[in-house]
Amino acid sequence: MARFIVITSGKGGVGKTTCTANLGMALAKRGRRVAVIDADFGLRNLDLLLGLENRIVYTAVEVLAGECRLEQALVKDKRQPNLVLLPAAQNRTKDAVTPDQMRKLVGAMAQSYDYILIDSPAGIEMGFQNAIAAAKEALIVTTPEISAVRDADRVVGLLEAHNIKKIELIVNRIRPAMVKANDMMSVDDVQEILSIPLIGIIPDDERVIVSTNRGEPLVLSDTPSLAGTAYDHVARRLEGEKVDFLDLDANTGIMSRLRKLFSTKIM
Amino acid sequence: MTQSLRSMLADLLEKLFPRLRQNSSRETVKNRLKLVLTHDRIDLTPRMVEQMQQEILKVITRYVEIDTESLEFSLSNTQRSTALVANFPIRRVRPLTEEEQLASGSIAKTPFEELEAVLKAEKELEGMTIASLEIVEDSPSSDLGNQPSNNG
Repeated sequence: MARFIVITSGKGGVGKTTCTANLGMALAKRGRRVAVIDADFGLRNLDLLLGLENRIVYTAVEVLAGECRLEQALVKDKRQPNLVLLPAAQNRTKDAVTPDQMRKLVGAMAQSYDYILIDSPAGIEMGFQNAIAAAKEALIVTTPEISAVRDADRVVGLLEAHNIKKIELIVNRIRPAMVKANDMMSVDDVQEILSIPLIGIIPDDERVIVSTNRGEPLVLSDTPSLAGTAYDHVARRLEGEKVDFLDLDANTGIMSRLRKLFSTKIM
Repeated sequence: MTQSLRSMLADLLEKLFPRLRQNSSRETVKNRLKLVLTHDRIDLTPRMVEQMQQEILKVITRYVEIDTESLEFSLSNTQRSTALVANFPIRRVRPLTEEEQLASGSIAKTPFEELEAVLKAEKELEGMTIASLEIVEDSPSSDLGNQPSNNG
């Protein structure tokens, strides 16, 4: 039986889709059968981050209308055959689908996959309601900014009201140097405020932008990156492994920097 | 280099004077968030909170005299649940007026019984006064660790 996980945030632009793409790939790399569903009807982007935009023939809307079979709409990834994408329609609005239809659609995939990741649109309106309709678990993506955390808190409340009990937190775009300078909330600050269990810390990493440009999720890259490793760790934690959080503070503390300074001066 | 030196200096200063941190934007944003989330979560308008405070105060002052200067009334958040934290420092127990005593039926019918009842009531009141004085000492107006209601 598949795990139904919605990736949501409330606020837009905090990294939901990047997170869905990377987690989907990381889980597929680990041998899991993964389906990623773009629930952002009218503003789809998941296909771009996965580099699958040219291979879309049908979308979820055609499946629901009975114009094609579900299997025809699923886009298989050539790099990672364990992963399929169910694209959203780009020429419709978020009202094109109802929560009931969404539940039926996702339910039909339950037998064939281990993980079904649903990429939620921003906001808390119809598109969000559709995205959470079929979900049993949720990953909340937020950044250490006041508006993102406030919206995340609102979404947590809505998920709880919707009886989704397993809700975990991913803090994205953390900048350790700014936290050190007391100019950014730390992961602990955010987690203390939201009071939900933490499953991921993703550092702010320029390589995320590069990977988006190419349509290749970071976790597929041969050269390791901090953000890519962090996403891989989230996937492993989803699998039930105990993985320590990355130590992003390394070499930014005063003592280590002093040591570094002196050692460079002396040598 | 100068920048890293400067940030090292800032680090050092902060280690030596922890109070500096309280003025940081990080502390500011945390406090702003906590306050706004408290109200978001409970979905009460500030007016409703104010109204609730007035009504509760009305009931309490019927029985005891409150130090209105230092009373605290606020919503606070722990672990995704919201609590109403109120601290009403008691000045003294307000004796019942004759009317109220009549209403509560504590005044007996015959003069002798009346005297006895009043004496008894006085005794009770004395006991209560002492007890409530202890309360005053037990509950100085702060130290609960909650934010004051009109802060922010």
